[in-house]
Amino acid sequence: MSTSVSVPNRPTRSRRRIVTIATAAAIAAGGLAAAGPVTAAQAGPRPDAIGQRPDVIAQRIDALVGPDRHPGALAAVRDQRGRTRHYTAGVGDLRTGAKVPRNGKVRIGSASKMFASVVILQLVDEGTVDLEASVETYLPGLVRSPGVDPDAITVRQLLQHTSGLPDYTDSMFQEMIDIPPYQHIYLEPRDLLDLANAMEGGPAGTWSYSNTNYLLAGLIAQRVTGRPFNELVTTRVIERLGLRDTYAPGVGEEGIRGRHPKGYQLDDATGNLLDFTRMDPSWGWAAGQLISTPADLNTFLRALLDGKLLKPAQLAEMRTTVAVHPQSDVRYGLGLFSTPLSCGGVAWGHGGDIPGYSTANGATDDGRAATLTVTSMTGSVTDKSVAAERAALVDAALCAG
Amino acid sequence: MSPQHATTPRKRFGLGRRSAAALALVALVGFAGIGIQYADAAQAHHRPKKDSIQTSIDALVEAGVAPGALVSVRDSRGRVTNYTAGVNDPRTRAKVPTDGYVRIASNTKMFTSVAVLQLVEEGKVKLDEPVETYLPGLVRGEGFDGHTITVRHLLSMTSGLPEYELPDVSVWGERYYEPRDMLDSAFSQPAHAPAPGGEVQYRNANYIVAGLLVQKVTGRPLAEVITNKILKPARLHETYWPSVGDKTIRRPHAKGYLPDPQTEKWVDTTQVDPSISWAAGQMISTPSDLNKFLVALQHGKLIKPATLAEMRDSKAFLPGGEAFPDLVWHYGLGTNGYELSCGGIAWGHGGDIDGYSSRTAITADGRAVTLVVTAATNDGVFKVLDAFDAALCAGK
Repeated sequence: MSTSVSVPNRPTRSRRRIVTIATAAAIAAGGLAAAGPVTAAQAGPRPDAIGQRPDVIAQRIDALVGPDRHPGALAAVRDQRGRTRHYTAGVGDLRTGAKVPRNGKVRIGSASKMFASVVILQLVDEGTVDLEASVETYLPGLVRSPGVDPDAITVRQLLQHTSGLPDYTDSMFQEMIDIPPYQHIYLEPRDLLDLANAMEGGPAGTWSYSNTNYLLAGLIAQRVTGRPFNELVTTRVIERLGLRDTYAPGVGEEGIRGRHPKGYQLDDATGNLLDFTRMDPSWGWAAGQLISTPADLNTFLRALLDGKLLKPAQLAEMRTTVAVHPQSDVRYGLGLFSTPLSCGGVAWGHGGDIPGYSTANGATDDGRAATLTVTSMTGSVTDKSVAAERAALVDAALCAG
Repeated sequence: MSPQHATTPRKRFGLGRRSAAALALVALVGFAGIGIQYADAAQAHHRPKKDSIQTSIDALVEAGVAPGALVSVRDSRGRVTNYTAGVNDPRTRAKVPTDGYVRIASNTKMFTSVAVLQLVEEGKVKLDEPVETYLPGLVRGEGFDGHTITVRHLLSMTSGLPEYELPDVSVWGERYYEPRDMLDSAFSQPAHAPAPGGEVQYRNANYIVAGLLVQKVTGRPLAEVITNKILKPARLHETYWPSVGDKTIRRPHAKGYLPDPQTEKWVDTTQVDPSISWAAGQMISTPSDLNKFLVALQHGKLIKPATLAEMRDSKAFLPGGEAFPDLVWHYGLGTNGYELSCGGIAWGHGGDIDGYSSRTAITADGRAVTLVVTAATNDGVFKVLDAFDAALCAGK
C-alpha cells in the first residue's frame, strides 16, 4: 500500500487544470482519463508468480485501495502478443469482505463515448451522417439552449466537445451531495435534453467537455437509422467484436449482470460510503451507460486502433485531435483522448467516471492495452492523490518492457 | 388445414377449478365440445353441435375479415373457454395457436390509465390538476396549453390535443420512436377542440402525455411501473411490455396480417417495432390474460371501487362519426363502455394495430370476453363488434 510514485510537478498541475475546466467530468460522467506523463518508479515487466519478482502493476494496484482510498480495484493488461494479465485489489463488497472478482463487470461511464463515436463514424462511412453537417440538419428544433446556434454546430463539434453546448449533468450534480437522490431515477434522453435546453451555452470552437454532445450524437444516430441507440451500439460494436461481457442496460435495469465488484459513492451528508451498485444509469445514456469489463475494454481499444471497427478514413478522423487545454499535452479526437506516455508516444483511450466506478484506460500504436477500474470515484476518497496514481498505473502498464 | 382443425375450439380451465386429470382426458379423446358441455366426457365421441361463439368467429374468417381469430371467454365463475378460427399462416395453413400472444394495441391505454389512477390513490397525482403541474413546459401549441388541460382531460380524451402522424406500417414498423418524437409530431398541429373538457376525441397523444406523467411522478420507466404495480399483483404472466427495439412477440403467438390491396393477399405484419404507440398501445398479451386483467380491475385488486367508478364515469361518443349514428360508445378514463344487445354496458377497451384488431370487455356480472382477429380491419369492424356482443351476451 506504500509504493511511492514520483509524479513530476508540471504535468500534475496541467491535469488539475483540466479537471477544473471540466467540473462535470470530475463530479459525474466526465471521465477524464488524462494524466500527464508519469515517471514510473519501478518500470519493467515483473511476473507476479509465486517466488518471483513482484509485479509492478500488482504493487501499484494494491496502493490504490484502502480506507482513505478506493474500496476495490481491478485491471487487465494486454501485451503486444495479445496475452492478458488480470489484477485485483481491495474488497468487492465492504459488507461481506468478498474479494474483487477477476475481470468483473463494471459501469464504464464515459468510456461509453468511444462506442457512441464509433457508431456515428460508421454512419459517416455509410453516408448517412456528415461530420460537417449541423445538428439542426438531423434534429430540427431540438436544441434550444440560449446562446447556442444549432445551425452552426456540426456533428464533428459534438464528438470533439467543441460545440459549446452546456452539460446537462451540471444541472443535476452541482455537488457530491446531489448524486444520491438520482440513484434510482429514470430519465428519458429527451428529459436530459430538456435540462440542457434550460442552460446557457458557450461559444463553439473551444474544447469543453459536455455530456450533451453525446446525448445528441445518440439521438442523431437514432434519427438517421430509425433504430434505438442501444440496439445500434449492440449490433454495430458489441456483437461485432464478440464482447460477451459488455452490454447496454435495458430501460429501468438497475443491476449489473454477472460477477461484479460493488461500486460505492460517498454520502456527503453522513460521510458514509453508499452501496451504489444498483442505480438507474439512464442519465448516462449514449454518453455513459454501458457496462463492461477491463478485458473487454482492452479488446475494444485494440479492435478500434487495429481498424476492425472503422475504415481508415474514419479512424483517422477519430484520431485527429485538438488540445483540451493550452497548458496540457492531453488532446481529444472524436470520442478519444490521446495522453502522452512517460516512455514516449501516446495512449489512446477514454476513461469514465460514474457513481460507483472510475475507469482509466489506454492503448498504444504498438499493440498494447490496459484498463483499470476502481470501485468509487475520486470524489468519494479522502486521499485525492489516488487519481494521479491511477493514471500512473495505466502509464506503467503501457510502458512496461 | 382442414376445417375441422380450423374450427376446433380449444379450452382450458381457469383458476384450477377442474383437475389436471380432466384436462388430460379432454386432450386424449380430442374432445371438441364447448362451454359447459365439456364436463360430459360421453359426448367426446360425438361431434357436438358448434356453439354460437365458434360459429360467429368462423363466420368472421369466412367473410375474409382476417385470416384467423381468437376468443377467450371467462364466465362469471372463472371458467375459461378459448376458441380459434381460421389459419395462422395462409401459406402453410398452420393453426392459430389457442390463446396465443397478440399485440393488444390500444388496450394498453387501460394499463396506462390504471397506472395514473393508482398514483391518484397514492395522493401523488390529482385528476383535476393541470398537466402543467407534473410536466412543466411540455404541452404547448396552437390552441392548447398544459395549464388548462387536466389529467382527467388526458385520460378521458377530452383534452383537445392534436394527434400525431401515423405513417404506413412499412415505415413505423421498422422505426424506433422516442415518446417525445410523437409529441413533436402532434404538437406541430393545431388543437382539435377549442377548449378542453368538451367532446371525446380519441387521440393517442393524450396517452403519450399520460405515460410521461407517470414517469415524471414516479421517476421510473412506465413499463416498469405497469409491470410492478399491475402485471405482477394481478399475476398477468402472459402480459408484457416489449423492451426497446424488440420487434418480436413471444411464442406461441397468432400472426398478424394486413391485406395488400394490390394482390389481395395477406401481408405478415407480426414483427414490428411498437414504439410509436408506447403508452397508447405498446403491450402484448393473450386473450385470456386480458380477461384476467379485467376481472382483477373489476374486483378491486388494482384500484379501489370508488376509483373504478371514476374510471367508468364516461361520455358518449360516436366512434364511427356521424355516418354511423347507431354506434355509440362510452369513453371513461382509459376504458370504453360497450352497450350490449342483451342490455347493460360491458367495460373494457379495444385495440387496432396493423396486424391485430381486438375487443375486450367485462359485464356487470363478471363475464369477460376478448376477441381478436388477426388483421387490422375497417370493413369488418361491425362484424367483429357483432361477434363480440354475441359472445358477451351468450352467458345470458
